[in-house]
Amino acid sequence: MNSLLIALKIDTTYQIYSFAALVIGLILVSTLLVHFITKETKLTLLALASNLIFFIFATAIIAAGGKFLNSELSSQLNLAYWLAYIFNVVNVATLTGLFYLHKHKKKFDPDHVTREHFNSTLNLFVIVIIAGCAFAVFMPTSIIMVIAYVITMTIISIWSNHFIARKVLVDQRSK
Amino acid sequence: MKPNLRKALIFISLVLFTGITFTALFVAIPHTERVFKNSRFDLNLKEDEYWKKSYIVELKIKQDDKASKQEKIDRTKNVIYKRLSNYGVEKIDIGDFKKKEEKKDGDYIYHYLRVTVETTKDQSSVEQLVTNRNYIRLMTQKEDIDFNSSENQYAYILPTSYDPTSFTRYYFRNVYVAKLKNNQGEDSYFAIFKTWPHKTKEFNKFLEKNKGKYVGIKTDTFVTPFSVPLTTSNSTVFAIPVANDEDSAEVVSLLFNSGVIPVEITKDSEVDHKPDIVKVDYNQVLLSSIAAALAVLVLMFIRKKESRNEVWEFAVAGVIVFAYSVAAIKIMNLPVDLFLITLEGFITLIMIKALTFNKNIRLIMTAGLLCVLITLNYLSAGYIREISRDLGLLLLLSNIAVLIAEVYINNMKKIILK
Repeated sequence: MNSLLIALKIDTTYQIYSFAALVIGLILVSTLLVHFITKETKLTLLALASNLIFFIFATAIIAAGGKFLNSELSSQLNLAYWLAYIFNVVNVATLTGLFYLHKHKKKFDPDHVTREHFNSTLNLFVIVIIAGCAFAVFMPTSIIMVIAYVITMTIISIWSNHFIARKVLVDQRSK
Repeated sequence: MKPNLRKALIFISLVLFTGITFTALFVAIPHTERVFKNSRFDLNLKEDEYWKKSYIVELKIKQDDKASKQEKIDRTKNVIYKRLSNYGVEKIDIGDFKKKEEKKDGDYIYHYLRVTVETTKDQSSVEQLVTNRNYIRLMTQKEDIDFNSSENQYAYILPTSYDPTSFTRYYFRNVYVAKLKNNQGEDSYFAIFKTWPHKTKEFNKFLEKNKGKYVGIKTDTFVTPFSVPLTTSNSTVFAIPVANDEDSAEVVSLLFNSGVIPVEITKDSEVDHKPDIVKVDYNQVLLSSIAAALAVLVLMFIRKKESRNEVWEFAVAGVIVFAYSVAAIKIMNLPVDLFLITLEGFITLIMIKALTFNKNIRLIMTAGLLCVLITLNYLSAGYIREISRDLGLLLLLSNIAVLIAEVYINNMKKIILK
């Protein structure tokens, strides 16, 4: 707990409440938006699970390194935490969009949606790594740390998104 | 041959757009300001404006409150953090501080906090936010004190000229700082005190009792007098002048509305530090951006999964976003953190890519991202708030750029391949 507070640069109870409000706010906004667009409970639950998995993993990774971080590094990682979250949102938004698009077609095939999402996920994964490496070459170490953390978290979150999408949308229907 | 007006207009628009974009690109890239002797449009970097300081503040806690000491310390930390983060201070560290020589007093316990700030904001304002308790108490004029006496011309601002009342900050729901006309007809900032609904009756009785007299608002060391009108009603506005300029008014508003510091607080000492800001060279940033964009483009050309048209659209949209956003920052001389721009560039590149190759779901993607960015902007602080605001604007610009790039490439192809 202590290393988590150090890593997230939390000194006061006000910051703990603000952080909790931000996380709850983001989970609510993104989940409700998915529900509003698709009206599909499974996809709404998927968005909720994606958010929860992201916050659990991202916080766990940052907390694991808490003891080794100085003030400067923890402030950089704090930034990376939210940048990685934005990539997760891009990925979930792609899945939601594809689902919405295919839902109105005559032959709705969730397998096709997840395959297309997989393609997009793979694309995002490759682009983030290539663009990240290209950016990192000319940057100081602290920015490289941010980019490395963003890449790691993006990989974990987008792969888990795809995994849940397959489980929830395809496997359930085939049963 | 009949002249085709539509084609001519499209042609002229394309030429104009290409010209303006090249000019913006010329302004955006580094060192081009050196070409012009009369105008300066170099990036206005914030990195030299940063300062870092640690304030050691002394909290004076009554012995009677020993049991609730930690709670009072935590509340003080919360109020200071809230004030600083709402003022826009980029980095804030608040921790306990142990002094070598402990101060001893029978009636009080002394506790010290170290508040370290790293920011570009005004130093004296930040110091006020850290070291002022700003505890409000309403006072009534003492019977034997004459404010018009020539012997003590400052009697009206001295706390000794007043008797304290039970009305403190806890009686007021909030203190609204607004720009109003003063007695001389000039614009000035006034603090308007709004009572809690269940306290209004009691407060109105107090005003009624003191009509035609002076009452004062004591904040820390001095009193601001308020002349209660002869006729008072429920709609009587209780307002005192607090500042002449906008920045001071913002600071006063934060002091009044960020919560009440429950103990006496004074500045003990301060230490200057060298700011540890990530320094990035603009040439490096540009090289990184070009390298990243080229790497992504080469990958797309090799993979051949995306159509050539879309790849060109991605390239043109990228150039539009970069040229217009950086040129606007340079021309408007907006102060920027270069390391933040670098990270924003990285994210924007991925956003443009997602928008270009998922045209059918562009609206859903934009709506989702925008909602998340707005939430981040409202509920976060420091750099995250800055990044989310910038990314929101860049997302909108990226959408426009992708639309323009689509039209531009289609029309250019028609002209070039004719």
